[in-house]
Amino acid sequence: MTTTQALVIDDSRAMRLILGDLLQQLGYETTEAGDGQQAITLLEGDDSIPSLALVDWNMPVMNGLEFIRTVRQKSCYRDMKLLVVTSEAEVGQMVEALTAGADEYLMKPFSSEALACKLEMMGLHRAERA
Amino acid sequence: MSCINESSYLTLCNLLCDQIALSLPPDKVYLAEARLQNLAKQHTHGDINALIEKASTVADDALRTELVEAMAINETYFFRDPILSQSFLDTMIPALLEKRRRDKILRIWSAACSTGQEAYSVAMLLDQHFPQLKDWQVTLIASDFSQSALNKAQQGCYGLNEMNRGLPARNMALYFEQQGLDWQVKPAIRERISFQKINLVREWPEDLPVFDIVLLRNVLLYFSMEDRQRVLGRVRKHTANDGYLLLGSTESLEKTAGFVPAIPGNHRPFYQPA
Repeated sequence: MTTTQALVIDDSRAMRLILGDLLQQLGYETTEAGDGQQAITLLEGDDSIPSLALVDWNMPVMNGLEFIRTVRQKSCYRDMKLLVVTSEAEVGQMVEALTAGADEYLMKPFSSEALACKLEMMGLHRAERA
Repeated sequence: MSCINESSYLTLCNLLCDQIALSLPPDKVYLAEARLQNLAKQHTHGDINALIEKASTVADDALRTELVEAMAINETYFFRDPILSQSFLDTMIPALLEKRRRDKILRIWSAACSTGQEAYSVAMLLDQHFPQLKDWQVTLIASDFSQSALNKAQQGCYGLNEMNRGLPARNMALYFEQQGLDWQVKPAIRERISFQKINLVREWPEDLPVFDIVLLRNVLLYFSMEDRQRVLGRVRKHTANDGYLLLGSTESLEKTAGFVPAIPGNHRPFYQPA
């Protein structure tokens, strides 16, 4: 089975575990970061670029929106799909995330089916079919 | 939970077949038990066999309707099949824009709309991609046999789980407004759809027009072959000769159905009258 890399960025360890587990079931190999800055450090220290990053909104040090803005300024990450996964359900925030360069937005709580559905919408099928 | 005995299950199957042509397979007893549990608590002290008996023998249309609606399959979500949305955008609407450019009339029917996501998806697609239709007379009818599903569809109010399934965030921001924990389709889109109660296997409204596009998705697969042919025959009469019929992504039609694939050799489930 071919695996595809995904980066899970969330300050909650429990959430990282849940998301990691769901992604692994979809065939992804995951790495984790507790905030946006940690994620940037991870990305810069690795030669391979994940095809997907799941990004929480509220995080210490660097929040999700700042992370999105930062990676979208760097052309090497332009193919990395960014899915905001958050309990923030304000239309304004959704628009802000999309304008900053997020590809999609998933509101917590969500089902595993909803996550799979969003990935499909983003052109990311189950990793084993990739 | 009470268990359904063989005789009650047979009665239930006959009732569903008679009311909505739903062909319930023999191995779905567990499903019936799960779906009728709450209704049985309300009406027959939790006894599902008694509920089925009452609904099938007593002249109580309301109870019968409640039972049938509880058993109905309401699975639907926004933009359910991306390939179909693409066919809609790339093939069907552009072709119809050309063919109907003089009259500027376009009629679309979501023939088993359930809770409305399909019809709203169509309305959003038209609004987003075909601004020229603002000068046209566009009729979008969404129908279902279930009044409770139609009520929800008409209200256009959806919970988080429904919003997370299939709806692009961009559309959510553009076409919905928050109502507490739910999200409601904005009136500008809601008002474009006319919701009607139509049971596909019963009488259809006399004034139901001929449509340019009929969406009959994931419905025929629950019908017997006989009902399927009967419904398709009537759908054919309500489909313009150069119009389209759309089925679910896993459905296909036999050669005798009166429709042929819209693109020869293409297995995407959209058809045109033969």
